[in-house]
Amino acid sequence: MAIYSFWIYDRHCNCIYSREYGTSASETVKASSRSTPKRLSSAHFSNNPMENAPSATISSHSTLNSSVSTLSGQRKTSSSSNNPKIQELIQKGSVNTQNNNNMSKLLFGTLFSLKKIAVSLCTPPAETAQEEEFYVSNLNNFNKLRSFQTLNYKCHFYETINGLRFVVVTDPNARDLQTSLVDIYQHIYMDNVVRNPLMPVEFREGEVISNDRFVLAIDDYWSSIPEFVN
Amino acid sequence: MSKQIKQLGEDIWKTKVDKVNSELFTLTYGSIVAQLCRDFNYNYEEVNAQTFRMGYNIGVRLIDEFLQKTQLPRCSNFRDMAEVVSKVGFKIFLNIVPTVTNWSADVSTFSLVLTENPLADFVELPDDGKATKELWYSNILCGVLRGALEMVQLDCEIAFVSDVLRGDETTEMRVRLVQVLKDEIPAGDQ
Repeated sequence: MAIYSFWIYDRHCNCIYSREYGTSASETVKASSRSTPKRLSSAHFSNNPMENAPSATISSHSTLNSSVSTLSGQRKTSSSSNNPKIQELIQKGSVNTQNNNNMSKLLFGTLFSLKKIAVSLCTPPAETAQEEEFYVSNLNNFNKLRSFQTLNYKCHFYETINGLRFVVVTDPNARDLQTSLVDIYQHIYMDNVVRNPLMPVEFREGEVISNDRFVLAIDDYWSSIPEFVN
Repeated sequence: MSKQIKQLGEDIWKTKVDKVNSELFTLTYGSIVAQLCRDFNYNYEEVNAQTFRMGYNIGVRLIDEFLQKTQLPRCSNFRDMAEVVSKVGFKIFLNIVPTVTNWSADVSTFSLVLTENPLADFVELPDDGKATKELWYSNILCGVLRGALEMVQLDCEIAFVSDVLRGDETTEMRVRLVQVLKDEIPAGDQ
């Protein structure tokens, strides 16, 4: 299992979506006792990325069908794969239960500070007061945080110009998943939140994305990439 | 830079944008404004405020669409932003390219002159002697721009200063940069 959790923060620094994917062990146990099995798993995945690729295309088609049927209210599992292991990981995880806890806040704080450091490392001198105002606004182009990595985790980060932050925490051996985050913003978030008149785009404090279609589409997306299962 | 932006706007307009019949669009907007006028008993101040608010709500969502379609990075100054607004923003959503002009000395204010305005085709303002002085028929555009720019942290004041519908020679929107909003900092956690 190489994708651990996925988070979205809005421009008011609130976590508007959190998704954790199931693991057999708890976070702490996992962190301390993992190095060896991990190596094996990543070697396995890199051998067969092609085998997993077809499931990606299938899943994107099935998203619509599966989400239509969720109107009745029960939580359906994603139809992207019949792989019992994927189903289990999705089932075991949790949606929007961590939005306001310490973990979420620490993660945000870390990214926030790293971003500040990255930006302050290379902001060119401003010539006019207005330029300076533009430069110190947080989202300039001069430097960007993409990901950071620890012994057991890799954290991928993508921030849009209008202040949404997409974060995914994975195994340190995962490839750069920023393109996936961009994809999620441009397709899943756009289609299910921005273009959905029933969803706000300015979230109030404590408000989260609980839209079933969105939840399913995200699960489909992550479970269809080769990194998802080891 | 300016040429590339123009090209970008045209490419996106040609390839990426869903289009609707412009008359349908014009007539729909016209009937909305007409209805608002009736609903608010021809209080045009209120109508202006309502169309602005509608525009604002459109703008805060439209910016996502804009970013997705254009994939543009952040503008590094206000001048670039004005170019992008006119040559890409207006181009891809309305297929018009307003002229950016009348810069103030401190580069914080400029005008967008709308040489054509698809909202205002076939429009005549009510003949009650009041509308031509008080109603800004296309005020929704100010709202859209205001909403969209606020989402990218540019706090701007935007208003019409003249409109051909009122008998003026040009249709002109004035845009003033109030401030560049700072990144929000997470609330303290005690």
